Amino acid sequence: MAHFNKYLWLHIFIFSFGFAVSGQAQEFRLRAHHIFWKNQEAGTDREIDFGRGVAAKILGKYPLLRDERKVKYISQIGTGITAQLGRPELRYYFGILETDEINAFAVPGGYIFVTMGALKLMRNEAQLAGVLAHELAHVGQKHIVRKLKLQSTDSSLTSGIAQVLGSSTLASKIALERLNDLAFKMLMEEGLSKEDEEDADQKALEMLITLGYDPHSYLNYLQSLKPHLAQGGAEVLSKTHPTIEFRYRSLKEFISRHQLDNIQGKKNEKRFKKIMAKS
Amino acid sequence: MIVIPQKQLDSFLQGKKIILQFFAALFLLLSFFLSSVFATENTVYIKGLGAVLREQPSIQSKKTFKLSRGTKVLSIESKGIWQKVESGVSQGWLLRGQISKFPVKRKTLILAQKIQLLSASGRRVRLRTFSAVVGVKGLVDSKGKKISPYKTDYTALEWLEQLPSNEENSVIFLSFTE
Repeated sequence: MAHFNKYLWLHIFIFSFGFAVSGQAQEFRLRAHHIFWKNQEAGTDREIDFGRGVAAKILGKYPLLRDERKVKYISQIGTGITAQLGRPELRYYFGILETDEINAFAVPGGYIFVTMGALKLMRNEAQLAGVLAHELAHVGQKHIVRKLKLQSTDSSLTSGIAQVLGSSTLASKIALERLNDLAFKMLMEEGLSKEDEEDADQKALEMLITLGYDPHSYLNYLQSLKPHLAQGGAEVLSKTHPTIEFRYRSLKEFISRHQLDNIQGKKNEKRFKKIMAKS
Repeated sequence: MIVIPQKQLDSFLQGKKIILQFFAALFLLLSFFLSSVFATENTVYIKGLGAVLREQPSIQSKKTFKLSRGTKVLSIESKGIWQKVESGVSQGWLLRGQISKFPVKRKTLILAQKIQLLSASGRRVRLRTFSAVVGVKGLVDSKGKKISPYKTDYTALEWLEQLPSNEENSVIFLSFTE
């Protein structure tokens, strides 16, 4: 017994070391990992449910353009981006809003909208891809869900939504409707934080580079917004986004920090103009 | 509480060999846990289609190896917007947007769930029915007043949702250069 006590600590360490290197420990870690992302998947269902309600409100404000040729084109560009760089668990939808106002919207769950006014302002496909990428970054980073403070104590961001949607009582339905209204108001009036917009701009630029598009076209698009913002042609956009000067400066700084000045890319101007010209 | 007799404790502390073994075991244990922490943090997954490894962290650099969606890779080094990863025997650079810390999940499809509406009766299905009804009538409170001041258009949304989409074809469409 005395002999055993003498070596007790050593035995404990040998045993725990043995466990740590064994396959069981690896299994345990994987299981913990698995539970973590399974929770996130449950959140995705609810995120789409939530986003659908907000998307329906956007379509209640602006009519949807039902021009299959144009919508198909936008959708192919958008899906081409999300297939490579989007959240793999989401099926994204891309729509065009029939309004001369210049703007684009991203709704949680993967609903992306661009206005006709914004499309008329664009000069090439790289600019379209840039605008879509900016919106996709909002979905990818769950900016709206985060800003609505739907986080709960666990790691899954959308579990706040999950709690609301989890029960089917009238109270929870009203709560969901209120949340939808909050998100809609955020898109139309309050906007996201300056940091989130800056982040989305930078992510959009990175996406353009990854996809082989000309990243400078996106900067040109931002510049071309300026006179329209001054004339009030994009009221919602100017209310909900930082100034163009700020966004342009921040992107320029990002470009020089990562030495991206010399990166060239395709613009696909002809294809873009051909599809946008026909109505 | 464990009480260790003083005599035994003394002999334990004096046994240099034991102390040496103790620290050796402690070191091995710590190094294992530390390495496992880093190993899991280094494991990343290829998010999407069309990820290609490059020799150097540059767009002009030669493409060396194609990786399919969901592939588990080890990240080795990062440099600006570039990330160096290792997959099996091949190493190369990717753009950081192409990888994710989380394993790739299966797609969540709204339309697929709608078909379930006909056969199954789960909680999700009821929710879906609910949003369709609200879409037409609008949610009202006990006094018959509308909860939300905003209009909705679920018919337009459903028109958008029924449009076909194909990831592989879209990637090919996107890769076209004039």
